[in-house]
Amino acid sequence: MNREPASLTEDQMDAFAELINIGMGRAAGMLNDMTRAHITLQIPMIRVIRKTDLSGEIYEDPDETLAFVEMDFRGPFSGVTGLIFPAESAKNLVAIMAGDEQSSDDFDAIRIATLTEIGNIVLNSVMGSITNVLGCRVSYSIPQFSEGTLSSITISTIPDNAEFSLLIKTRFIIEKLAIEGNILMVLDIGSMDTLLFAIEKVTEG
Amino acid sequence: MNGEDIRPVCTGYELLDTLPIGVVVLNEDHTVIYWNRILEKWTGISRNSIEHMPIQSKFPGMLTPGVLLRLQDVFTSGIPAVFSSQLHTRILPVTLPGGRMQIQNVTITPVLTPEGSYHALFAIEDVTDLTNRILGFRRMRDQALEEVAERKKAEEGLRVANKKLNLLSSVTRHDILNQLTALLGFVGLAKEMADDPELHEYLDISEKAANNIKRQVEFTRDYEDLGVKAPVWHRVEETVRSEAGSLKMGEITLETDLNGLMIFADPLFSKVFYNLIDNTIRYGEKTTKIQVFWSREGTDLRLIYVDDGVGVPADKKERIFRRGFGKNTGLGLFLIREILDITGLSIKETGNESEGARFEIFIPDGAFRF
Repeated sequence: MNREPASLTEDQMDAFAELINIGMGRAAGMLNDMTRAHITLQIPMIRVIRKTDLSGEIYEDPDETLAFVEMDFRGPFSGVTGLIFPAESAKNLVAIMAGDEQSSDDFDAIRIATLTEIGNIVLNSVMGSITNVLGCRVSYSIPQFSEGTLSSITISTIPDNAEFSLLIKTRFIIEKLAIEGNILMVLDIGSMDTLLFAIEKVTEG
Repeated sequence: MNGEDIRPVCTGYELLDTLPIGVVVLNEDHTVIYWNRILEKWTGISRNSIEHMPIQSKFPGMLTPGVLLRLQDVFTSGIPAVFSSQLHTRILPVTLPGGRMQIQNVTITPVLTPEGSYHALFAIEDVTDLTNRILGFRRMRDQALEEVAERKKAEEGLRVANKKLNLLSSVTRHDILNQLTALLGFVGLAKEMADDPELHEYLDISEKAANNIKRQVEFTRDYEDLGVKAPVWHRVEETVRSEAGSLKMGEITLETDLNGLMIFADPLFSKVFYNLIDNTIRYGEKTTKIQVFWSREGTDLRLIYVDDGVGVPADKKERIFRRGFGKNTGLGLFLIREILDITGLSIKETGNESEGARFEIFIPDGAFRF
């Protein structure tokens, strides 16, 4: 069993937070463009957590129905990035984006495809900006949609032997449209050294 | 096999010819590297005429600024892009038989080349049928929801109207019964004071008529409650014994063989046996015995009520269930049929005149249990 990894230093944390902020900021900008509404973005929460605690850290209410679009990535650093909403917010977003009158509460195939595309646009902007800054190449899965309570949604972290992951979570609120959600990144802890090295290289350069 | 289909140069994408989706691969300058068979079929454009050509040469409107921006991300960052039918309708215009345009979901996947650059692989899924079915389903669902809402509204309106009618009926009944009590009281006093036999006879007739009115008014109280509350399960043995106990049976004995039979019926179900026993006592003339038992009829059941009174004449077997028919109020058997009908039970008289009355209640499968 792994022991808890050493915490990030303050400098590393600052550099890392700045990098994440660039990605999250671009994602918020993308959401802003899509909805034409003001997005309130909270400061990212960055924390090393046990993989078994992941679900509880991702969302507060275990019984709430959530809509989740995720993409996993592998390369110099690996993990999963996702956009997670309460189902009601997800429906509002689809309705606004597609001019889709909310005649029913179902996530049918049309709405799932729409939400997957929205998630794809937002997540691409997060990951694209981070990999562009770091100048590294990462391969991605096709975005996937799931719906349910936290216990029924599987966060597809890389099946390595590590007991811990690095969770980065940014909450966003579009008050005018009654939409809220989280942009997540769960990093495989084994990738941390590579990632920190890449960050240091960029900040030094 | 057509000789033109055998291609001397292998691009590595040939396997995608077997997929049931459209596949086109572009390189960074948007030149078509690969065009699969499904796309040949959908568009009528052969791969020989489009490969090595810019995609815009055949589809000038395909790479809109929005698509182009995200396609650029595929080439530069290697991030896949998905395009949903609701936000784009289509990426590659394909005309279907009949002139409608195909509705598509498109995924662009980066394919890393040996040179270190990316190709963009467009996987184009025809979701026209699926989309139309979903939209049709949504319309049906909306219509059904609308109808349910309308029905709920109508039911609520009826409930309120029914409540008001019941209140009116209750108040009116109360007032009529008060007046009848006064009337009967004064008729009684008049009878005591009347010496003239002819006048006495008229007062008797008046008293009888007033009593009939009273019973008819009281009947409205029972009928008002009919079907108002949800049906429940009744233990038949308990119901029969309880109703018999509330009536003056005299020398008439009651025999039951019900073995825990339960029937799903309106809460007024006890009135069925009250009225049957009351009829036997009133009109049986020579009745000594009432029997209640059941018999199976396939998966259904018959509940049988028999007495050994004078019975019902053959020409009256059906008419006795009509409202107003009979020697007393003419409402008892009518009420019985109405009560039973609420949960799909039915009743008929099947006895032989002079041998006694025999009422058979038909109970379908599901409306009885033990």
